[in-house]
Amino acid sequence: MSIFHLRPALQREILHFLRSKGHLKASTASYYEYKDVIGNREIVGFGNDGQPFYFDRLNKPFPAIRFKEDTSEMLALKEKEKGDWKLLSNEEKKQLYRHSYCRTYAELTAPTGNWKQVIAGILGIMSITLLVVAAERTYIYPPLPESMNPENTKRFMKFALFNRIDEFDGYASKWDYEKNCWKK
Amino acid sequence: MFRKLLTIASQPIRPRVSSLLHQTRFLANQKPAESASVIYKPPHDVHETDEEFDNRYYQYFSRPDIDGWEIRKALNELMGMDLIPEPRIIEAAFRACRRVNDHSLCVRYLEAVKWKADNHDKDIYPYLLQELKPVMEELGISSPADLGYDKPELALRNPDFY
Repeated sequence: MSIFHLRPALQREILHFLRSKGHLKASTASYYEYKDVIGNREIVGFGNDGQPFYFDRLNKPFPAIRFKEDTSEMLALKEKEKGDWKLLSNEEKKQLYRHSYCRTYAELTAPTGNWKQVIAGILGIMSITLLVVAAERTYIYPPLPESMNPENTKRFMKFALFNRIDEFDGYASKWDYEKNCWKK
Repeated sequence: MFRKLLTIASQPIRPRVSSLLHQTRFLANQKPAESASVIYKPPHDVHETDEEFDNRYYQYFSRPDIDGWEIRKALNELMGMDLIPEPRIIEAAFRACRRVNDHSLCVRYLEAVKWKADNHDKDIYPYLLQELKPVMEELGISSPADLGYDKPELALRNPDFY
């Protein structure tokens, strides 16, 4: 429940009352409190959370303040805007737009190419890890034991089959002793 | 002073019970407010039809003394809802923008609606433009495509990352 569920006339009455009393600090921006941050930029709306800061959000198209400060040229253009909009040229309309907003939606949704940096970072970390492992193998660890040579592994396999070691999970489970071949 | 003491003395002595119990009893004894004096209903009790919703926003934007704060607030709220407003609501919003003399509000809202609608269905935005064409021609509103805002114009590094 907020006051925005009330009927509009009552909303306005309450808002005017609260503004005059200095309550509702979170949702009604005070120009003088944020002047150091936002400069002379005009506070025009509620924005995202009532704080008078500019940020381009896709789901909240209208920020609380304008993007640029008022200059004398801009004020002249705003005077012209009060007249017929058909008299405004496209350039002037664009100027007005960029005065209120930083980036258009097309610019906000344009691909940034950031995925390349992400993938480069992942591959870089992986390659550093591989280098570290290779360095450990060459400089730190002793050589592998003899039983891990291919030749000695085969010898152990024969030994295991002959003695039926580990009949359920090991090499012996794969060997068909009746036909003398590997199980299919 | 004596009168006050007398009134206190004449009242029956109330047993001290917990304040919560007091409150619940108080609430239970309350009469329901009359419909004319009700100032709000909690949102979960409001069963608003689509037509009533449309009419509410249409009337909101059609108010002659609407200001920019209210337009922005309502359009931001409409962006947060699971809907694209009817063309007549957008038309009323455009006329409200005309009254507060802010052309870029219209362009920005058209862009936002295009972004929102295109995520859902590519046919919505052309339909809206076709419906809004008379108003835009009457008021001299340029669509984002007219201003070249359908494609990125300027590039900006994201200030959060650099």
